[in-house]
Amino acid sequence: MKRKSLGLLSTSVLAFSVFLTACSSQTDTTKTTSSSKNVTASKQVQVTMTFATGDPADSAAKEDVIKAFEQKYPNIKITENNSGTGSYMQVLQTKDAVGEFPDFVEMRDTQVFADAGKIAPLPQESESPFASLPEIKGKHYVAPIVSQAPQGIIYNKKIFKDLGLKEPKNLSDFYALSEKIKKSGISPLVVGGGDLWHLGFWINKFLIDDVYAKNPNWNSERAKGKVHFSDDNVVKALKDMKKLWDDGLVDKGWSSTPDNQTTQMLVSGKAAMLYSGTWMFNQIQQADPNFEMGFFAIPDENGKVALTSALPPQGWAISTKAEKDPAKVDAFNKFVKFYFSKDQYSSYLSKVSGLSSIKEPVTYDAIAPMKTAMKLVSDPNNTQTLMINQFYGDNQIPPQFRDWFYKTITQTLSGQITIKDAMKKADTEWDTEYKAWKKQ
Amino acid sequence: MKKKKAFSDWILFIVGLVLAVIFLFPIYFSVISAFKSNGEILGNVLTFPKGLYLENFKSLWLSTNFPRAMLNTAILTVVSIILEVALIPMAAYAIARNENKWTNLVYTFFLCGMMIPFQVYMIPLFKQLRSFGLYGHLSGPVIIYISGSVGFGVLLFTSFLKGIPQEIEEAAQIDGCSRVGIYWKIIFPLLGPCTASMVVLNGLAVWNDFLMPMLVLPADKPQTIMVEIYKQVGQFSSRWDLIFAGTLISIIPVLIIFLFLQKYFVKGIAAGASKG
Amino acid sequence: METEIVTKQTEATVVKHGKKKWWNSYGFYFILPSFLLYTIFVIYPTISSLYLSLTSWNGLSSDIHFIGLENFKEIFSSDRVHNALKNTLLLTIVLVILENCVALGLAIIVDQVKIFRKFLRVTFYLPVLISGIVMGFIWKIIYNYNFGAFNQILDKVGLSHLKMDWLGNPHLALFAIIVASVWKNAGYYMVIYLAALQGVPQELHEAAVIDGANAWQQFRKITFPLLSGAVTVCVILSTVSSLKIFDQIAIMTDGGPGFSTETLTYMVYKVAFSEGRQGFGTALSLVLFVLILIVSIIQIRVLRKREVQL
Repeated sequence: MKRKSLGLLSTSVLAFSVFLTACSSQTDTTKTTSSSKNVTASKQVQVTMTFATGDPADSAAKEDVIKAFEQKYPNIKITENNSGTGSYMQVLQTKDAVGEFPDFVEMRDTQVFADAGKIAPLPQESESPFASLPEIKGKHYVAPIVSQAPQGIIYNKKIFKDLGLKEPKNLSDFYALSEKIKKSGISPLVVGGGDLWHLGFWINKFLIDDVYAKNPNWNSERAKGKVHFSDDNVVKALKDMKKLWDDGLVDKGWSSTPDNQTTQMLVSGKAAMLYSGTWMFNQIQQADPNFEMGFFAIPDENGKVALTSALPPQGWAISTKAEKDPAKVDAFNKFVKFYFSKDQYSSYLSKVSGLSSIKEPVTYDAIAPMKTAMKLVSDPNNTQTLMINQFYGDNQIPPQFRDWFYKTITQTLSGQITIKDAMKKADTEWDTEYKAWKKQ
Repeated sequence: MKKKKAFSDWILFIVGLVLAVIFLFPIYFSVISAFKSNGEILGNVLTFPKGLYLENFKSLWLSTNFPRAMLNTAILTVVSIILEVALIPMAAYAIARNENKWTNLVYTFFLCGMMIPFQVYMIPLFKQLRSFGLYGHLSGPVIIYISGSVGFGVLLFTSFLKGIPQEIEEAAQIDGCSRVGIYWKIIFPLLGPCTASMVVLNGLAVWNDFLMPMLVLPADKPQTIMVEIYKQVGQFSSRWDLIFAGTLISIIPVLIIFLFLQKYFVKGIAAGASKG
Repeated sequence: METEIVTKQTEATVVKHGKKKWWNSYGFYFILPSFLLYTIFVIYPTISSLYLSLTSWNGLSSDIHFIGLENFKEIFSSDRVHNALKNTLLLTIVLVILENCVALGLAIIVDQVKIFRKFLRVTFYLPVLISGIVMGFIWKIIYNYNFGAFNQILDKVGLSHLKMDWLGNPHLALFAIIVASVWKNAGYYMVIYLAALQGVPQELHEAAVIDGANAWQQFRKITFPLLSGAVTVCVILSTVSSLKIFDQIAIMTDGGPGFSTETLTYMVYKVAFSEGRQGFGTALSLVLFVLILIVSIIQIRVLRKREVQL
């Protein structure tokens, strides 16, 4: 009988432990907004949603829209499922690997997921707000949240005025004015090299000028082996970029400065210029409302401007799983309609300094630099294209190539390998990854 | 002679003190930063906080998943330890007291596991958890922790058991006590120091664990403290104040337990070392 | 007496006449739960990984393609793997040497010092309690170029020209991680060395002093040889744990800048979970496992031999 009581004790200890773990694994959703008191007779629809959170202003703006949406439609509950590690594509891949692919999802690497059958083409109704939609294999998969914001130099107007500098007409002008800033003891450029994707802005700018602006189908030609990374034009593009580093025009701590520290560097006057997109305007204003910002695109050596503002296949999409549920499809259509409705959308755009993607004209009070950006985009002389990993269809690159490529270029900037050697490696790496990718 | 000795004693002491300052610096730094606002941290790294700024702790507690993550970490730690203590010494006892080809085989089998790094089986394990329906529950990590400690635990306890003479058990058997009874009433209490060492070492490992809970617990719900800290660093890497507050909170329970159970930490390490 | 023999015999019978009653014996049930958990959640996935390493599974699609030894071929010819191997070896060797030397030094100080011994011991051990994530974050900030403690101190003492981008400079980053890891782990090995030091009989030292030996001679001829057991253990433990370092790299550098802090262990994680090549990642992890095995076996042989000799 003593044995029995001991057995009882151990069983209860074990049972208690199991009980604890079972209890604690009950769902504890974090960001659901509470539905309003008057629940309508319509059925409760629960959807999960994931969007990219790299840009805090954008996340906050999206959440505002979502909250407003849930207030209007109390029977639709959106559970945000945003956290995860690594790049956005990795975040989604991880979610999918554990069976948690979201119902509504912001798509960035659309073709990858479309090919894998994870997202469904847009329901007919959701196509209506847009004049044109990017096509993948003849279908429309995403409702573009914004037209791609152009990237350029955000600069400290006061420093420029003090040094008597003017916006550059071509690339050599840009080098020259940066030298002047350097001589005055201020870092000309702050680069958020701590975040790989920030370095990507620079890489793409130079690649676009020398490669993609002249040949938008370069990627598909590379896949066919007609062109290579070790070609002269690619090497030249990267050499032009490296010149900024070699000439000491980039602030010394670039390699470990994360993107969100660049704002601080700019407004504190430690650096004069930052190369980024229009979404930074709001962050900078918040950090220092008195900071006078200017914006210009860096032209190439011939004075021509190429922008990363073509319409990439990125935006809201619905998963194949959710598409099978008519209630969720209906919720999706309502969401898209709401998101891109005039008032909501212009409010969103103003918060992220974004460019509209819908056909109905949307205006909001834009600050001066934003107006500059909009002018750049609407100038027919400027080439509009995409960043290396945003090309789709035949021009799509192997999904993991981008990060490897950026990392390797980082190595050239610190002098670990020459550009020519790096590009030879890039060719090998591309071939390997492409082969592995096509086998899937 | 004496003077020389006193002098070298002083040198030793000063060197020790200097090293202590160097060793304490990162901890000192993170403690003072937890009580500063972000601007203050960026401005003056080394100075003492101007006032006792408690906002960080407030926002951490109220507007992030941190409290829930702490609870999860605590649950994982406590439950894993209880179950490990319940199951593993038992197996070691059976192996130690029954020397035959089967138990020797099992013993070697268990020991092999100690060599396998987690990275080798984490990917298929991940898939497996899903098919068992354990993905997303705290029971997943618990099971993984227990399974992973079998090798080391058995090693630890079998060698400790070798030092316990069998006469006591034999006497109890004569008195008519069953094996189970002998184990729980006589042996288990005697295993105290060894158990304490395993509890302390494994508990610390579970509390501080990062990679496995990150992969195994779903990302939209609160995970464990270390995963939350990692996520905060990723998303808000400029909010150092919040993160320092979080790291401080994560260290305090461990510190408290350490101060009370110091000797078991030491014994555990020594025991693990001598058996290794 | 008789009952004792009888009881013992019954047990022996139970064990000997295996098939009849072994599943009834207490031993079976005592071992069973641990055995099951271990086999299902450690051994089975390890075996699955052998299969997975022969596929090109990307972790995303539902079908898995068998590709034989392709992954391994790629591993052996991959520059990135060679780089990771180089980083792994460099990190491990330097870290093991530093950790053990520092740990031994700390142990000697704590052993010999007359006052504040407990305080010193606790202080040196504290970093061990801190997780790799927390420690990685604290040091990341300390190393930050613009706002970090190191550079700020250098500024304040007028050594600004010595400021470096500790984690952003590809030549320094790995060593920055090593220094931080020494801080974290030395205390652990210090405890082991301390225990060994305290096992050295005081009489030996006193006899040596009478014979005119100075401190260094005493250390070389008396202390160190008697520590060889502890050295063996510490070197083996620190080697295996250095080979498996993960948390600090994840937070401090993500394998960067470029690939300069990407070790094999980190690359396995990146490739499998970040880059969606789980088949390839598993193959790489097996290579890592073999490496750890080989290194451990060599070490055990060499160090045990040395022990015996001394």
